[in-house]
Amino acid sequence: MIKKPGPERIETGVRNLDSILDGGIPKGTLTVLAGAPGAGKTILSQQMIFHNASPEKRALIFQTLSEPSAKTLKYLSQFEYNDLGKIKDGSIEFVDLGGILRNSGLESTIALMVEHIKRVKPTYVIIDSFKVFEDLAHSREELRKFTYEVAIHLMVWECTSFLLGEFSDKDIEVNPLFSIVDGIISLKTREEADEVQRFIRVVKMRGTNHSRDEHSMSISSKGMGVYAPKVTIRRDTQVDLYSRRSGPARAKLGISKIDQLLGEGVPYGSSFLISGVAGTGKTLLSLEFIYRGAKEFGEKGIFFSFEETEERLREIGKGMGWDLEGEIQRGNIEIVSVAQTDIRVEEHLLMMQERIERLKARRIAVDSASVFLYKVTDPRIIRERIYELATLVQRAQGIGFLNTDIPYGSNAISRFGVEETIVDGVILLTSSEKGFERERFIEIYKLRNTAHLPGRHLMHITRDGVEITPRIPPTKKKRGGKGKARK
Amino acid sequence: MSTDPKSLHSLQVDAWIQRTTKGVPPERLSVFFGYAMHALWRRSSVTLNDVTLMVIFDRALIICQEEHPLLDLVKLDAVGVNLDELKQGRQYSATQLHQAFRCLIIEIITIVGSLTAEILTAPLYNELSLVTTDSVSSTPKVTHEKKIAVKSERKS
Repeated sequence: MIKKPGPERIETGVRNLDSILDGGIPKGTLTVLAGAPGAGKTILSQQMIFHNASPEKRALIFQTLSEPSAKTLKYLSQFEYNDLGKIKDGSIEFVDLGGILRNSGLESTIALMVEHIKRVKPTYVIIDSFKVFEDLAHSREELRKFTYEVAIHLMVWECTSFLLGEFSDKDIEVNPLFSIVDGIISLKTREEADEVQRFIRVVKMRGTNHSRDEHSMSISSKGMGVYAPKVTIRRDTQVDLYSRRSGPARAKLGISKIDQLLGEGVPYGSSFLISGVAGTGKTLLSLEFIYRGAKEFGEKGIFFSFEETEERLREIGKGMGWDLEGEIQRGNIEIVSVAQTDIRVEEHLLMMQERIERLKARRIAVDSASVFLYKVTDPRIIRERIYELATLVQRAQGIGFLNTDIPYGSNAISRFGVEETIVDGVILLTSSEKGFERERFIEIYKLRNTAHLPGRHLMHITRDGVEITPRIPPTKKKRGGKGKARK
Repeated sequence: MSTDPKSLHSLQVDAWIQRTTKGVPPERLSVFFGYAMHALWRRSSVTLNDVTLMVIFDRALIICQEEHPLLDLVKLDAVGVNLDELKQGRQYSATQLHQAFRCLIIEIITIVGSLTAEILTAPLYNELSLVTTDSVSSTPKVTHEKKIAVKSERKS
């Protein structure tokens, strides 16, 4: 069956918003942007308009009594999306309805609005705020008639329009406006993990298969950015993001003799949980994994650190006698450090996605996934985020090391108890006392689709990096077979 | 050949004009186009309410008035298009009238088509095809005042 093309869409110009809208705002539709004061309605609408307006596709912004145009224009200047040229050349025109609303009421107001619409023939219209009309209407009938007439004019003139208002969830259920409009986008702020966070949800958008979830977002001088990893970080069923067309299907890790434990190699696209209590060598193992990839195999690598600073990691490399600096300078390795206190999970997940894709990284280390997710308390979300981290590796067709701290004295093999079910492999780092010394061990605890050497193997941290001494089982000479491997 | 809706509407309207207005004197042309406008309004009003129709015809008029100022004399109200001022005013040439109403009819069909996902396009083509010089001359003269009277009668 041939799928009928849907309505033409307009790009929002807001990072990731088109993805959650399944391709942008349908052209010629009427959308309510609902939210409390300060939720970001004006910024969102203006960002979309500044992205799209041109001398051929003009925009009208009607300001009502909620905010005078002068004030809007003043605050507009602080955002990068604000292109004053678009106001100067008439692509965007601000119309202050405050005066006529205050003196003459709704009937004269709609007459003036229609006059402007006929004059400008706009492709885009913003009414900021529409809620004011509710406050000024003498009756529900008057409001209903006014709303209907506004909607008809915007529909017939085929304007893509945004009606802004301090509407609550309750309004969405009972206000007749919401049955007329094609779309509803709800903006909210609330405190989560001791931080005030912003959220966006597409409640309704006719003719689209939009995401129904609430997504976090932020507002900066660049305008609004939406973080929707659930939508934007998807497993790549085509596998081939960039360089899988040639080369081996399995990777050698190149760290000491670790490859002797990993049989025929690790399938590209696999992610490992590097699991151990503090001090077992997770950071060093991951850093060496990145370094060896670049040095021995020419594979670009990226190290996301939520624990150590970039300087400290560079020092570790120098201390090991590695040419980490050289690989960084040659553009083969990137270290990205984010302080724990600055972690914003969804935002940083998308940052990781962009950095991995930009570098075309084949080796990815996250040190550590447990610190990265330390503010998240909902196990369902932790599972989703770990899955998204693994998906980043899968999409890059690389190998990923996701470090996790196990609490001392526990039998768990991960911090949250779900990570090991999502990743393809688990490398367990342990230690035990032997006399006055502490011996370190490495164990391939789990590895999907690959025969590997089971059990614990000695691991030392030397001046050159990690040294692994595989405990090779004796071969069965009688049958001439190989050592037993677990699959 | 372009397949955008407006081009297709233009082809239909041009064919209809060529077929039906050959030899019609200018003083009869405005009456003829008046019937055509009335036919489009009547057929659209089955599906679209008069508020919507008013705005649609108004938009089409505004767009076409820029190039065809004679359309300033075309007025709209709740019962449809009023050409009385145009009929009573100065004489326009057949070419002027052809071009102005061609623009207006194409624009109306384009807007209605776009708003209804082209569902009303075929019925509007059909309605237009029924407006011929013969049908106009055999139909009793309907003045705008009569239309208003009929509408108020229906309401009461």
